[in-house]
Formats: sequence, C-alpha cells, structure tokens
Amino acid sequence: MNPVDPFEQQLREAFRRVEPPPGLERKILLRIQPRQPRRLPSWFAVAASLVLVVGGSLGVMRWQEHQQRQREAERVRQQLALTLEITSRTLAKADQRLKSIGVERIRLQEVSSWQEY
Amino acid sequence: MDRTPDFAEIVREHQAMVYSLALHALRDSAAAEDITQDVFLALHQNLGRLEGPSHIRHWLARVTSHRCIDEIRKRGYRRGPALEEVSEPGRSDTDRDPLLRQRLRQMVAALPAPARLMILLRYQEEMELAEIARVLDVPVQTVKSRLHRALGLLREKMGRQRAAVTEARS
Repeated sequence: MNPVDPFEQQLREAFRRVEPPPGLERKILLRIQPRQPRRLPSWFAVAASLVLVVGGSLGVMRWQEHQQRQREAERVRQQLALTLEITSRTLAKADQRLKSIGVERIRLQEVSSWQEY
Repeated sequence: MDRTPDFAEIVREHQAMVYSLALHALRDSAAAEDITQDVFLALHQNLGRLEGPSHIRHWLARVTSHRCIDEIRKRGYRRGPALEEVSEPGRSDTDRDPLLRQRLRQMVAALPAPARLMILLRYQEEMELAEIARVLDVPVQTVKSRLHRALGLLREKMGRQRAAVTEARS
C-alpha cells in the first residue's frame, strides 16, 4: 500500500471507523447475560398456597361426608336384613302353626263324620 | 479465561471495528447493529477457544466479514447497480471531500461482496494482503488480483468524475 497515493488516502478517509450508536455495548452485554428464572410475585405464591389449603380442606371434608354416608347406608342395609330375617322366621312359625291347625281340623272333621255314621 | 469482567472490555475495544465493517459493507445501520450483536454473542460462546488479543481481533474481523458477505448475497445486494452503472456526479457536484467520500462509499457498495470486504479490510483496518487472505479464507493471489481490479475500476470512475467537474468549471 502506497501511503502517499492520494486515491488510497481518500479511501482511508472514506472508510474510517465509525462510532457505534450509543447503547450498543449495553445491548450486547444484556444478550450474553444468562436468563434469570422468572420470579413470580409474592402475592401469587400466597394466593396459590391459599387455594391449595382451601381446596385440600374441602376435599377432605367431602371425603369424610362420603364415608359417613357409606357407613349409614351399611347400617340401614343391616337393619333391613335383620328385619327381613325376623319376618321370615315369624312367617315360618305362623305357617307351621296354621298347618298344625289345619291338620287338627281335618281330624276333627273326620271324627265328626264318623260320629254321624 | 474469566469471561464476564473481560468481555465488556473486549466489546468496548472492538465494537467500532465490527460495526464499521458491517456499516460500510451493508450501508444499513440497523443491519450493521444486528450483525454486531450477533458477532459478539458468537464471540462470547467461543471465547474459551481463542488464544489472546490478536486472535480475538482476527476472529472478529473474520466472522464479521463472512456474515456481511452472506447478508449481501442474501439481500441480493450484488444485484444492485454494478459499479459501471453508478451514475457519475453531475456538474453541480464539487470536489469537496465529504461528497467525494460519500461518492467513494457508493462506488465501493456497488462492488461484488468479496471485493467490497477486501477494500474495507485494507483501508479501514489497514490489513496486509496475507492477513486479508486469512480472514476471508482465500489465497493471497486472489486478494491481490481482486483488490487490484477493484481499485482500478474505482480510480477510473473517480477519474471520469474529476474530468466532468473540470469540464464543468471551464
């Protein structure tokens, strides 16, 4: 490169370094920063905890109610079963009794028919 | 190499070179800013592989030049007016330096992408031919011949301009 060549000197002047726009360095340094994990606001954490606690409590209560209903239903079922059994036995006894009365009547009728002869 | 405290210094030291190369190559300040940011981001990712300050400068010039050449080709800058088509200034133009510099920039912007970067690396960064060849990954002879041809075209164009101005004054 010929330092005294006026044309080349004009080229050097035309292509002198230009100052970058203000803020470019900051933009570059921001881009290389590692991304910070996004922090949720504290009110969000409190609200989320409340939702969990209330939701959990409601869930437990509902479960307990369900269990209670289950137990109640079982108790009723057992009572019904017992009632049916008692009724069945009673009916059986009554039937037996009726049967025995029926046999006696037939005998009485037989006896009375014999007497008529 | 401890990155964070040194990197800001590296940016401050070299951002003018990177930005200027991109701006003169593309003649678009927004594109030049984008390329500058991308180049330094890439530098940050590769800093551990570089050996020292001179290696960093060379690396930056190399990556910036290649990005500019890619961008020029992508945008079809090459399809813009060729040097022969860049109009010569009319009679109202004078030989004042700012206009002359502006005209020179326009003429260089009309050159093919590799020749454009060769001119910039030579006259903006004062690089020797061998270094330009390493930066652009081409043989030294290629740099010599292309630079010689580009300078010849530019001189011829500027010579015609001066002749037109002289004629206008007479």
